[in-house]
Order: sequence, then structure tokens, then C-alpha cells
Amino acid sequence: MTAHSDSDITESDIREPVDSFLPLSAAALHILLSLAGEERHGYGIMQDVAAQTDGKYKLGPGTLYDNLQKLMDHGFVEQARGARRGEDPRRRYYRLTGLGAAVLSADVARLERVVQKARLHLRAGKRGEAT
Amino acid sequence: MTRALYHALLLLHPPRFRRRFADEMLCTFDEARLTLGAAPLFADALTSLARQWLLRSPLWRIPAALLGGMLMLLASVLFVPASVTPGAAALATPRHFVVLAGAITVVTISLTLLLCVYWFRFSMRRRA
Repeated sequence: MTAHSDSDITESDIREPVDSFLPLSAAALHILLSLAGEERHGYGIMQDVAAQTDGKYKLGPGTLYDNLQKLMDHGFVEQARGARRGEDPRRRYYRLTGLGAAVLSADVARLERVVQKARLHLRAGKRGEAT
Repeated sequence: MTRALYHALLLLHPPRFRRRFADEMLCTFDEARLTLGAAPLFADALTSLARQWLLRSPLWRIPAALLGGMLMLLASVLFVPASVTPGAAALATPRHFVVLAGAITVVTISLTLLLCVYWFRFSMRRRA
């Protein structure tokens, strides 16, 4: 059996498991984005996702909790605590885990590369039209 | 009334999902119906119901296996031409053929069900 020290673990070893979850679905991306800032309850996530997209993308509770279940099963999101005093006791708050933050960062970086490429292609297309 | 109907839809979800999220979903429904309206939330709940049973739960395989067995039985009775009936001498009448087809189908369904049960238990053990 080979013993591995911490220095044997390369950056690509860490990136690989994170990359295997990419690309995230639109719902998962928006939920993780919503939880990146602060811990939120279900309805809070729905409201934040609507605000992120200027009301163009509205999550229903079914889609939200289906995605939350998947994200929790993967270990990207965890339950933070129950309801605050004076709130509906059925309410639960969720927060991003370290792995969830890493996956979100990786997907945002992927999207940045997509946007860069899209801009290049669009510029090349416009130049082609002009000539 | 709408709340009771939504609650009923939540009760139809698979047990694992229902135990984990039904109370919270009802709480979210109470808050969201004032801003979003009840109709889109019902559409979302119906989609969720189909998604949870068809994509997330292994239980749908049991009725699907039963349905498959029934269809096989029906197809064997209705569509197999007389010329390919095995052992025409042994199976002189269509009644014998139906009995044989039925027996084969029952064995197939039983094996499928057994496999489903073992697979379900295995997946539950892995989840635990």
C-alpha cells in the first residue's frame, strides 16, 4: 500500500471531483448563488432567485426542494438551523458548504470562459458581416 | 380549499421526499401564493410529483414491471400468429397456448418483482 502525504495531492486532484459536477443546472446554479451570500430559508431562496434574474426565472417550491435535496445529497448545501424566534416553526435555513462554494466557483469560471468565447465569436461574426 | 388540495398533492409524493420537505413546502406555499398565485404553484407541485416518482424514486419500477408483464401477456394472446405456436400437436387448442403464455408471463413478472425488491433493498441499504 502506498502512503500519500498532503504534498502528493495536486490541484488537479481537487479540481477533478468538482469538475465532475459541472455544468450545474440553471436551478442549482441560482440556488447556490443565493446561498453564497448568506443562509436562507426556502421562500427566501425563491425570492432571491427571482431578484437575481429580474423576475425572469421563478422557482416553484417543487423545483426548489428537488434541487435542494440533490444539493444536500452531494454535500453542496447543508441545513443551518431551524426557524428564528417568532417565525413559522416549519421554516429551515440552508447554507453553502465548502464543497458547494468550490463547485459554484468552478461553474462561474466555466461560464466566464463561455462568455469570453461567445464575445470572440460574435465579434468575428460582426467583422465578417462588415467585410 | 387550495391549501388542502396542495397538501394532498404533497402527501402523494414519495415517502423520503415527503418526510424531509412536505412541511416546509406547505409553509413556502402559504407565503408564495400571495405573490405568485396558486395556479403556478399547483403546476409546479404536479411537475414535482411526476419528477419525484419517475426520476427520483425506485418504486415506479414495480408497477412498470407489472404493466410490462400484462402487456406481454396481452401481446402473446392477441398478436402471435397460429403458425408460430410451439408444438402444434401438444398445444392443439388456443386455450393451451394461452395457459402456457400465462404461465411464462407469471414467472417473468415474479422474477422481475423479485429483482425489484432485491434492488430496492440494496439501494436502501446503500442510502442508510
